[in-house]
Amino acid sequence: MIVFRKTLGDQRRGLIGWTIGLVLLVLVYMAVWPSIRDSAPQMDAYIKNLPKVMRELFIQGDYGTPVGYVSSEIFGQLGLLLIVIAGIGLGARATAAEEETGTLDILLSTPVTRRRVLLEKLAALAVQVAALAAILSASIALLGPSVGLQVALGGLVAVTVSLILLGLAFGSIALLFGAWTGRRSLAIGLTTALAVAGFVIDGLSKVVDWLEPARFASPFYYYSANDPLKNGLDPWHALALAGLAVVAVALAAAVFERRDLTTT
Amino acid sequence: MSADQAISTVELTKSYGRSRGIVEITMSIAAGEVFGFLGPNGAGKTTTIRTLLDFIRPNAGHATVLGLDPQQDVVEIHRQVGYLPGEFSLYGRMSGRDYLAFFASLRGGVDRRIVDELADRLQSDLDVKIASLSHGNRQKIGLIQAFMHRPRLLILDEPTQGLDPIVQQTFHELVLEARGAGQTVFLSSHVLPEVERVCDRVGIIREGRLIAVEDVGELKTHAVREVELHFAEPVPAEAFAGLPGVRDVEIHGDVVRCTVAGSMDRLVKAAARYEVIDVESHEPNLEDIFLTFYGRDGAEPA
Repeated sequence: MIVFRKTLGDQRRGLIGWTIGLVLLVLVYMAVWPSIRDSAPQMDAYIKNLPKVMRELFIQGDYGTPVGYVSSEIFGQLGLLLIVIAGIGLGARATAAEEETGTLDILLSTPVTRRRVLLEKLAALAVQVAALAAILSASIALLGPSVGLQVALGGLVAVTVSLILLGLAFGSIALLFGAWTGRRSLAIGLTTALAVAGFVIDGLSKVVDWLEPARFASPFYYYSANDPLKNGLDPWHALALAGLAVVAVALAAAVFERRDLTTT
Repeated sequence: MSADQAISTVELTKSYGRSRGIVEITMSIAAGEVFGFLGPNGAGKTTTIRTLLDFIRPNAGHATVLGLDPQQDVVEIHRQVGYLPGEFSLYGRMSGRDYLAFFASLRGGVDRRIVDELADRLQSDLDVKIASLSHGNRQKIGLIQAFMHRPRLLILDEPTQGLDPIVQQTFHELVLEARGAGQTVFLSSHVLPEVERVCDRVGIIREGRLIAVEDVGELKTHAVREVELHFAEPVPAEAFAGLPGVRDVEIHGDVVRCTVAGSMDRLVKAAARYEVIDVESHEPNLEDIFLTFYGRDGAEPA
């Protein structure tokens, strides 16, 4: 696990930055919670007047309750977005950054296989995505009570696991594109495009009838359809996200082992 | 494939698009040999080397490294090879010491005394962050990385790039010591004098094709140099006429310019009859060797 440990060491500054960002994010959401709660009746009236498309895309659940607020605002929007971005960034960097900067040749001239390097980079990604999602949820659990916002721990764990799996799935897809092309920016671009498409399909499929069957193609469906914060984890949905990650990693390993590596 | 061959290739071919690549390279490097792979930049040296180490896969032909197939036994090959790429980056945030410790652990541990001794001889400061090192100082760390585990085979792509002359000298000593210890060295270069200094044999590659493999001694006897002699007073033209191996003689008063193929002996003896102030000898560049030694189209000499 030498490459794994080195990768974590290299990325610790980034991890610290992300941690600060996520805690600040939760702080802001917690700070505005009392005023959101107090204006819940007006908010509800406002939301009812929004077009259905807007409602379904951007507002999930019930704003005025703690679970609805946390679920739609943090786990449905910015918190979700940040974890997915972190996963994509780490996945794209995994092998492609070393290939692009020209450190990969020496690394792979040692008795470690390409597959091993890829898997240890993946392990570093998984640990960081899990840590970030856990930090996000822990901040909510710790900071919430001070403003009277309490969510059940079981639900919080369920949504955290779901978020980790989603971050891993997108991280693995980015890792696949990075291992395939050797180019980090291309991997980030392609995976981000897929994520945006998935997010929009998941939202629109609730209102656009003909898109309805397509929602099963979006990873976001498996992340949020069961509303894990409220209803707990759906094992099949969790398995679908894990399966997506496994397939992407298996493809990445296969492609990376067979490819001609580029030099700077 | 015999076990006393460190590297052998048979019609190794790799093409990328239209121009770059290698074409049917067949060569054999014996264990314990120092082999120079000489050619201009872009001739295919790096492509050949990266095929030997399985970073890229050939389109046709095959290679054997230390008796093993790179596509089957890459881990075992990597265990026994020390490699310095032609173009590379090091982990800039690490110090040289941490960098080498990282690679030592990937190789299952390396005697620290060897690292310290190499660093000392190459005058490499291992306590500085790599990002703040000059190109030459990074090259030194790359070299230590390649030598430190005492590999059976060293594959070095343009190893002296960016090194100052004193360190180049140290590098040449390291190569000769490696040969003394029974290690095989395969190094690429685009400068002839370096190859002449340390190699037993040289393979010349141009436009992806191996056009000749020569003993270095042989190459030296054919090597063409431009020589300029400065005398204390004007010298007669007859003194330098008709010397074997000496051509294109031009005499301008007390300066004689000529081209010498092979031994300098005749010219030096002819010059010794007069008072010599200065002798300048220019090593031929590769292009000159190709044009004079191998003919304009790279064919064998007549």
